[in-house]
Amino acid sequence: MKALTIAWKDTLIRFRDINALLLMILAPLVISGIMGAAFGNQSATPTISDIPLIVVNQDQGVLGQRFIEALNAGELADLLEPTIMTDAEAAKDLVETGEVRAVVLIPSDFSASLETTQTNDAGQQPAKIMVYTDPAARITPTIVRSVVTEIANVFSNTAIASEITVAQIVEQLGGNNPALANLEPALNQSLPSLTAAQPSAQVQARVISSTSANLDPIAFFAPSMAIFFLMFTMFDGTRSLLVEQINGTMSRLKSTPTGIGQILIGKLLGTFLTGSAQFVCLVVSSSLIFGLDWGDSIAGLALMLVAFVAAATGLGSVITAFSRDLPQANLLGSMITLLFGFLGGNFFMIENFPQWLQILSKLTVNRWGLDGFSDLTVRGLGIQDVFLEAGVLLGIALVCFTLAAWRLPRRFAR
Amino acid sequence: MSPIVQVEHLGKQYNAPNGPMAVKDVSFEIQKGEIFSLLGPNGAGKTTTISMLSCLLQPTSGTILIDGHSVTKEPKQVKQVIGVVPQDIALYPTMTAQENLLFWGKMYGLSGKHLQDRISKVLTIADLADRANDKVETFSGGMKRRINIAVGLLHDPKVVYFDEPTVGIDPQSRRRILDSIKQLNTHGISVLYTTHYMEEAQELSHKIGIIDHGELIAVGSQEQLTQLVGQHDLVQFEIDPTAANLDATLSALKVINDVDQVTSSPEENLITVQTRNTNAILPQLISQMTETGTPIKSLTIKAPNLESVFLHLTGRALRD
Ligand SMILES: Nc1ncnc2c1ncn2[C@@H]1O[C@H](COP(=O)(O)OP(=O)(O)OP(=O)(O)O)[C@@H](O)[C@H]1O
Ligand SMILES: [Mg+2]
Repeated sequence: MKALTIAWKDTLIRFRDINALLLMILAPLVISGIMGAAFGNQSATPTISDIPLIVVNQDQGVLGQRFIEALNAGELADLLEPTIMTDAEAAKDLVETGEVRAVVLIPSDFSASLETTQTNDAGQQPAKIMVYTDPAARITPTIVRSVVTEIANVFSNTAIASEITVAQIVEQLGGNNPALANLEPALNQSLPSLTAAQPSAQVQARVISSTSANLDPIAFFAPSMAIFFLMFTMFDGTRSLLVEQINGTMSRLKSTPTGIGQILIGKLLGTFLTGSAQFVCLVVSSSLIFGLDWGDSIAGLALMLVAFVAAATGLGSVITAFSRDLPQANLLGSMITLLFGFLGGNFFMIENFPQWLQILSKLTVNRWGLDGFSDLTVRGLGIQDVFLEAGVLLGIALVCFTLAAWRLPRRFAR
Repeated sequence: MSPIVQVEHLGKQYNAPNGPMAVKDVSFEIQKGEIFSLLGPNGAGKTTTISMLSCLLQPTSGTILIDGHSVTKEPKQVKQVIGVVPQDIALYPTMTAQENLLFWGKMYGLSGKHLQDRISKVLTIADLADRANDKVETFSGGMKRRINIAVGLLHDPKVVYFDEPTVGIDPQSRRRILDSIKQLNTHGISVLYTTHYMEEAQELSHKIGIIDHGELIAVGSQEQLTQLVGQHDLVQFEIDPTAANLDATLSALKVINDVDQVTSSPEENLITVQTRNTNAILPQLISQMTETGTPIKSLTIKAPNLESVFLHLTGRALRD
């Protein structure tokens, strides 16, 4: 296979180039390290606090009011910033437009139903507190839901088992999500003091059991920087088609009995190989240097790696295919790398973006890559949890390669 | 015996339909075992012609057969037969000579022991066996050119195209390259050589095509070509243009009997006179020069050569 020979040649050239290696391996490691040190110094990540939420209290008894007090108790006061409203519909609109993260609706029969449940009146429906959340946000609504659930559990004195618990949510989100750093202490401190009735030792115990959480910000920055710097490599790799054209080696390749298809596949495969090798180097070195845990799912990591590198290679090949010349390809490549890096959340937590920007960020391969990798690293999930992200990335790759397959041979054949 | 290269009415227009005709109605043949040179100044269309013969550029018109295969219809077969040495060095500078040869050899479909043998063979031809494991970027210009040539010889082609392989290198490397081309030719390899150096074409070629502005204005052996000029010598005067009265001198020289052509190239401080009767008119030429106020610094007499042919056919000197 001549394509493999070409791909291997490109990979060798790249890994021999000291400057390229600095950009590919050293730069992302150094920046992750700096970012990690900068954010790691602040105990209990302050990135998430004062989550805006609206409480609509329709309850006619006293327990509704007690519930609101609970939301404001102790450290929860720092975590949440509840506003009281009376118009439930208006409140829901605010969630839908993304202005608040969640609405907590206390129903009119809240006190009444709790009192009857406590007297074990069979057939009585238990009180239902409704939580409406912003579908575009990921972490903050989960926090609100978990807090509300916990408080409700304490109030009802009953079924911890039948409801979702903080511990489970913490687990689902991955123990080491920095956003949850201040959730657990807040709950531990606030919940027991809520009611003297039954401080629910069970809840306390469970919450404590998941405090092994790794809050290392490197878990966020290492994949981010890997993604960001991988884009450089991929765009550089696909651009080397134009460089070979200028250097005359493309003509020489075409003067050998090697088809243009083989040449193009070889070049793209080389870019893919280089990117994969770069990513593996970054995974290994970041776990050696920073002790970063890239999750338990090797298969998931491999899938995400292949999907992301394929998507980035595809994007690069489209840029190369449709650029007028090398300078234009350089310019486009740099612009897209930077734009996607910032928009895709490689430098700032996406949760802090306004909603429209969060939706826009889904146009970038970086966002999908980051979502997938942090599912594995930050949240500790498995391969089945990155099928969506990997699928989207592979879809992007497919579209890009189709465009490139149409355009590149025309461009380089003669 | 059928020719190894057969070109008929070849034409190339860049950026059709409004672009320039870089090659116009060019026809020639190269017999097996022959060295054929395309001699022409910059922009004459040499590289364009070679590119079409290498299947790199689609001809606008005409046909090309290499060893009986059409470049447009059977490019695969053609590429097996030809070795291409491009005008600009086409190698990977951060790879060693050996690695470059290994890579290009594989592109020609070679592998294993055979490839290794071929690599040592062409390294010997290029006289670079001792530098095989050095990166190409550490080579001198002449050494790079020699590796560039070696790559074109890897697959033992029947015909090799050399596109101005000696441009911009030292005389030693140039000598080595010319000698190795002759050496190759003694082993039966046919050669298409392009150059704008008359001396190289003269030294190497069995047959020469003179190309100018995309047109092949003459083809033949050296003798055949010089006969076009007749027994015309070139008398070249080196002058000091600051102290010269060029216009007066040129018109005075033109009217002398037996003077066919007078040209001047002020950049090179040369006045060239073409004549069939040098000995008879030389005193007259010298006296006219002095009388019209153009002192002579030196003078050279050249028997008919390719340069006089070019001058005769185009009215211009080859180097401009
Ligand atoms: N890609 C191109 N597009 C348009 N015009 C071109 C292109 N390549 C060459 N030309 C033109 O075609 C003519 C012949 O060029 P070519 O390179 O074949 O000359 P050459 O004889 O090889 O010259 P040199 O000795 O400088 O290498 C020139 O006028 C050149 O400007
Ligand atoms: Mg040329």
